[in-house]
Amino acid sequence: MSEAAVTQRGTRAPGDDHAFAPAGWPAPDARRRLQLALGALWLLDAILQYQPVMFTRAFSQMLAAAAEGNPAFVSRPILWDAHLVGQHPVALNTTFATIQLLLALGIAWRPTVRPALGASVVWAVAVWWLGEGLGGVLTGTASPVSGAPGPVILYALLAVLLWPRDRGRRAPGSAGPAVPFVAARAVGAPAARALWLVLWASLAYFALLPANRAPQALHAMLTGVTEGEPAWLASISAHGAAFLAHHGLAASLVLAVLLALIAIGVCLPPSAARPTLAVAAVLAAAIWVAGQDLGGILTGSGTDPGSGPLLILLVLAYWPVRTAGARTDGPQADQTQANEAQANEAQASRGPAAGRAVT
Amino acid sequence: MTGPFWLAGVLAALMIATAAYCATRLIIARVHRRPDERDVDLVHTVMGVAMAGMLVSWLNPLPNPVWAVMFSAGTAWFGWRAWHDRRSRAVRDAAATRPTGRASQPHHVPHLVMCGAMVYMLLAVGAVTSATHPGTIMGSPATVGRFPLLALILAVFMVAYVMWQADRLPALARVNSARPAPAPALALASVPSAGGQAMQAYEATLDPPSGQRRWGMLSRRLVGRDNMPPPLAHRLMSPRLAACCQIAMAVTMGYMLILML
Repeated sequence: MSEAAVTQRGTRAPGDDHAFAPAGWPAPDARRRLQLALGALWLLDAILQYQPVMFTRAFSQMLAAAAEGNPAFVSRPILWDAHLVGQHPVALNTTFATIQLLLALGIAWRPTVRPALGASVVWAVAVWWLGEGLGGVLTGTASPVSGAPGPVILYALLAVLLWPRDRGRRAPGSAGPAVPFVAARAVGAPAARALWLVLWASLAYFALLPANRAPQALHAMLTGVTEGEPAWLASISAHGAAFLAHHGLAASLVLAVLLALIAIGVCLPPSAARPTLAVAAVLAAAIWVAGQDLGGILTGSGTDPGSGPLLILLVLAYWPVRTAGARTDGPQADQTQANEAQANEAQASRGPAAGRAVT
Repeated sequence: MTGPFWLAGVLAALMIATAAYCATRLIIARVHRRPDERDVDLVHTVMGVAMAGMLVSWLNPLPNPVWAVMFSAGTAWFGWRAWHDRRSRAVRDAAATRPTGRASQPHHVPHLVMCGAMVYMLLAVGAVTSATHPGTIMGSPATVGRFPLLALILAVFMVAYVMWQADRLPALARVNSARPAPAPALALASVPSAGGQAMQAYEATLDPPSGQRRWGMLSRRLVGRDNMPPPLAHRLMSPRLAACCQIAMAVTMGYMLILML
């Protein structure tokens, strides 16, 4: 059962007591690592879904709350779903949690990564509708601070961007396509940039909604998430709320400008894109801690880790690939970095398992 | 909260099966003098029993403080192993012209963290339940522990470990495809490169064990004749099965840690 016992039979070379890596296991490339991170978030979701409170009627009430403020075509299926879960909480919650567990393990198991990612898109969209009420985007109260457009839709977006497929022309002497960042491998750089632009521009738009730019809106949002949280985490939100009290409009404007800059960040040269993406990651982390209190996980009733980790994962998927000794900006930078990306990521195809695994 | 109770029972059964499997590996390793890390198998055997007892209280054969002491010793042991690995790797890297890659590192850190997580859970649950609900099982409201952030960090580690292990499963299956040949010389001659090394390492474990008689008929049936392990032992030592058990243990531990929140 030990690590050495697991692997040494096939890989320990004579005289090398430390060669424990299994033969034929290609080290995960950048995209595979991001896929595994996405799978890890699904697994965390599954474990959270197995929490005791999820087997009670409180879960159905949680679902029903997502219908509030939504138009009828959205809210009716949500209420039907909540009613059904309320009648069979144990059976349905077990099913939900097990589905998420299988999605996670399917992503981790290389031969099933494609069906698992495909199923995760379907599941995420269904949960986004029936569990999150489309993230509240149609209610007029969606806010990036509270996790709009809904954490679960980000799972679907990531599954699409990390789909194990290579699109685009191949660079000379390389096995993979020429892409400036990992997210462009599956859908191409223009489509990936468009998706990023839509996401972050929509967040900027949500930040400027009337409900969010009211003087006390952000203050109320931050104070509303502290219930049941540990004292240290609640105090962070409380301090943030005190700082933003009566400054809702100014804070919303600053937030919207930041989000808009982030939205165009991936269209900039890599030397400018990196700091923009770093700001995006820091902002996502700040919102996750102060605005979402880590998704409410520490209260014992959180169903997911919130949007912060997913946005950070998205940032990593768009992070320009660094090239040593090459230009880091300008028109040739994308091509140069793409070549570097291929050199790093083509190693997955060198191993015997790669052909049927990731790429 | 009926859900967690039956869920705890299912997970406890899984942990007992895992513990039994690890114990079987220990027996096979001893009889065949395999160079496996028996300390890890031993700790996981104990860990499986302890986790089952934490999930379902009537399965717990020992009081929590005893378990805590045992896993504290395990933490210290694997801490020393991890430090020793790191030190030997540094020495080897200094001597080598090319540094060894991360993929070739032995991994005692996960076992270290798992032992540490057990100590945390035992102490945190014990501190709460001893004063409120003696005999309370995991998943009940009284098991909410102290330092929830630590529980969350440990749970995230378990989740990451599960993904890392599951990602390697296909490769582990290929490693297991190496079959023992009747004669070591024939096996080594017929399997090239990495396969040959694999076979060499495997054959080195198949010497006739001098202490086999001590294990009696049961172990003789399990491990088979000298120099040729039977299919049952071969399957039980499957790397993929071992990794699956580690995954099950890490998932269960992650669940137990989340219950501490």
